[in-house]
Amino acid sequence: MPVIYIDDQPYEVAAHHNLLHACLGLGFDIPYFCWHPALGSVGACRQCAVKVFRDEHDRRGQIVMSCMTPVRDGLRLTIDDPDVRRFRATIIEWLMVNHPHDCPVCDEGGHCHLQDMTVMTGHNYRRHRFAKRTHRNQDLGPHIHHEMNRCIQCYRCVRFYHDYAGGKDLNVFGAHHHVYFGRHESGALESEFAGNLVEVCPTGVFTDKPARRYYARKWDLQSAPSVCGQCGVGCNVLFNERYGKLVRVDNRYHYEINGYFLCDRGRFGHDFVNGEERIRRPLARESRGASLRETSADDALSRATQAVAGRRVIGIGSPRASLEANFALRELVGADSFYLGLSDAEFKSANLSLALLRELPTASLHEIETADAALVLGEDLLTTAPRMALALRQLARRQPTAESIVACPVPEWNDQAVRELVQQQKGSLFSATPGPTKLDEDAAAVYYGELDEIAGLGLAVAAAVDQPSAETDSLATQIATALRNAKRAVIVSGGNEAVMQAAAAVVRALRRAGRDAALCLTQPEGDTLGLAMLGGRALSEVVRDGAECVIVLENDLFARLPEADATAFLERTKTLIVLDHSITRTTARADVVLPAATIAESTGTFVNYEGRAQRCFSAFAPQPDVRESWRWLDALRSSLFWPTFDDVCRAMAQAVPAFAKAPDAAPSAAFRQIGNKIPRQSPRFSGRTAITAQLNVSEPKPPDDPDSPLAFSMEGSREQPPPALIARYWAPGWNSVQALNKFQQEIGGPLRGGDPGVRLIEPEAKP
Amino acid sequence: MGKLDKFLLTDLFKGLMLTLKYAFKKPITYQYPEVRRPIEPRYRGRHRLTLHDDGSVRCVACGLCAAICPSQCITIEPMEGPGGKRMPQVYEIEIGRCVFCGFCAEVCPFDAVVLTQEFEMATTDKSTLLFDQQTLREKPRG
Repeated sequence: MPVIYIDDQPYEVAAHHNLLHACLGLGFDIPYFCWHPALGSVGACRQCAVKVFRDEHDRRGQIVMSCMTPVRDGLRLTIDDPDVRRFRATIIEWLMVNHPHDCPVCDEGGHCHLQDMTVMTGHNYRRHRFAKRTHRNQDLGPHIHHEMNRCIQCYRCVRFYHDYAGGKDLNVFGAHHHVYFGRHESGALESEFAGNLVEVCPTGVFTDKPARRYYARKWDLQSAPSVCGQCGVGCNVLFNERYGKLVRVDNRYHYEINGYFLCDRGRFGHDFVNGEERIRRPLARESRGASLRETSADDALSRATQAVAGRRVIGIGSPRASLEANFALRELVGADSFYLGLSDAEFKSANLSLALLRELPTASLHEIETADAALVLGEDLLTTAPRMALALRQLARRQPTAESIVACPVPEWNDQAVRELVQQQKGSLFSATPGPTKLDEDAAAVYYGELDEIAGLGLAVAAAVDQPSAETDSLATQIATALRNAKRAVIVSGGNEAVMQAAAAVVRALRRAGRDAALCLTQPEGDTLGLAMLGGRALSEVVRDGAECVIVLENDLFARLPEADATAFLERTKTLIVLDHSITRTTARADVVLPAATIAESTGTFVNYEGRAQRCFSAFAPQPDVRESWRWLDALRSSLFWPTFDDVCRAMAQAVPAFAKAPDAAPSAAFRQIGNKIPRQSPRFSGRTAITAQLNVSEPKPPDDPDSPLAFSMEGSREQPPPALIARYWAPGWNSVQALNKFQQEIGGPLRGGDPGVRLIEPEAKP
Repeated sequence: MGKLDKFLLTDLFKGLMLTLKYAFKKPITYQYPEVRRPIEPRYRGRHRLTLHDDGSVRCVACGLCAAICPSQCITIEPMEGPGGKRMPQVYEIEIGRCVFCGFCAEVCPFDAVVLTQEFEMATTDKSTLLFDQQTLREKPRG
């Protein structure tokens, strides 16, 4: 590894990085705007200047942009030199000439990279006395608020939206000091990843429009690490709360899964937590035909307990509930009476996925990004697993780069140069889907056909991998050749059984040929795979069996069963107990409704598409009558078995061998850092003593949290927590999300202490 | 001290003389509340929310005062007023907890919150120590 000298001190750094990346990784603070670990360098902002010396005798030096300077052995530089300090302060002052200085009313204020960098450079007095350039803002749809005057022309938005995510409708217009970033006309942004502009933009040009309604500063938010349950990818998120409302959802870095970016469904799809449809009090009806009325928790529980006692009770689980909730239901009703709340197609696909994952290796999103060839069979990934589609796009962009830079050595981080070099070349990404998808433009070859034709193509590819033939004109042979030539290949599928089997056949064929191949099967919901691992009967059987008393856990039967079957089944049921957080057609027919906590208010474990168990923690305590589903279900039993989350998690690990490692997904509630819990609130959390003063001038005790090592408080450990418990990204001088640099082992690499979560499924086959 | 001084109780008489001198001087005690003591110009008392000429609050609810407040006694809930102008929907100071450090006024980018010289806020009911936006807009007494 090369050694560089910073102020005559030697440091060992990785050879393939640029100087900025290396210095930030060593813990030095250099201000920057346009560079992003996932987007590379373009040298647009001129902010990361450092002084480089020719040799140890050179005292004059030369100012260079550290983001555009490759690391080389023996490089001598200084970061803290009066000349470069002045240079950087001048650049900031220059950028600030047109910046409106509206921090007090800006939504970015408090987690603004521009604020951090301005403080870091020491520019603190504005000399510019003249009019500022102004722009007209656009309406960019319901998710993104546009405030173009704040722009500092770093080009990050276009580089992410256009280059990284493949969006077509946001670009840069104009010239010299009238550079404009936006759409050609007002209108909703079309990309599925538009929400990332909020985090990518170093200042407040693109801000989170739904979060804007709550006017909450980052330091006032109470947050907890969690997992997105919108699809089976299991991206890590941070839920942020203020005044009992979920304010915003932020990306939580996970090297193996979502990295720096989320899809819009994950970022903006958690509105139901604050929704009008939320059930906040227990509901019960006196008799069939009477209407549902609000009741007390005790009354609802005693009704439910009476209904359950001494009768045959069946339980219907849910792929959107945590493992623990499903397990608690299974324990309550018995394994024979536990039905997975999946439709027929979902049930078959989930069970087949589980069998295939136990047989064949799978790949994380990071492994997909760094693979050399991929084949998508039958899935429109931008609807079923958008983040995976973004990973595949990176594969398609990265692979020709890797080939081109062998011939013409340009560092991979030099984004503009690499794209000049690669031009329109596409990587070995192949897609076979029933209709056109947005991923098609990144694919080297596309095939449209019915699902059985796609399965047929898959089998043909498998056959062609087994027996390479000379003829190359058929698509199957072309794909097979690319997959065989790849060092690592990924086959993505899901949904349909025949297609999944065909995908598995391709992986098996590649592995027989001695290639490293992995199978990725998408799952429709956050815990579909976990539910299949827990095991239970198919929902179609329940219609045939029927029962006097049915408990439905966070599920809408009308979404899983044919209309007639669901209606007939519910009419035969004497007592229907439903646990859910929002009103559905099933809760409308229930006799007792118990209000369940949403994912943002509960502690639980979810299993993602690769069989990785991940823990979500409650960002805020639910309202008094709202409880986690496993708590309600435990209360329905004769005596309380599981007072805390760890009890139910441990019981599950003992009862179900597949979940033996589930408690290791995150530290238990007993975990302490220097004797303290980890605070959910920032040290700057404001109004603590006054927030409830209109009710009582005495400050109330914060809610207890027996389920996790996090505290609903600003007091606690100030140390950097273990990766599964990171509740916010903050470091001294770094208030924006870019503080993440301080939490990683190396920048853009795994988190310090290893990435959270634990893989529950190990394939039998070894390469 | 000499033995003579001790015998003649010189110090005692010195002290009595001083007392006698002040007995004929103008008293420095203020007969509060009938007589009010002059207050130093930089005295920090009850807060006030300053207003624009049109009577609207200058505060844009940026939250800096609430963040800097060491006793965490300020609560702000922002809202958007006419023309998208940011203003506080709720601006409350729990004055019973305030330590009158003046950081809030110091940090305010718009001089929207200032500390007045009013200090008479004694009450027998703690719940009246929560000053809302209306109270804080009022001109200080005295």
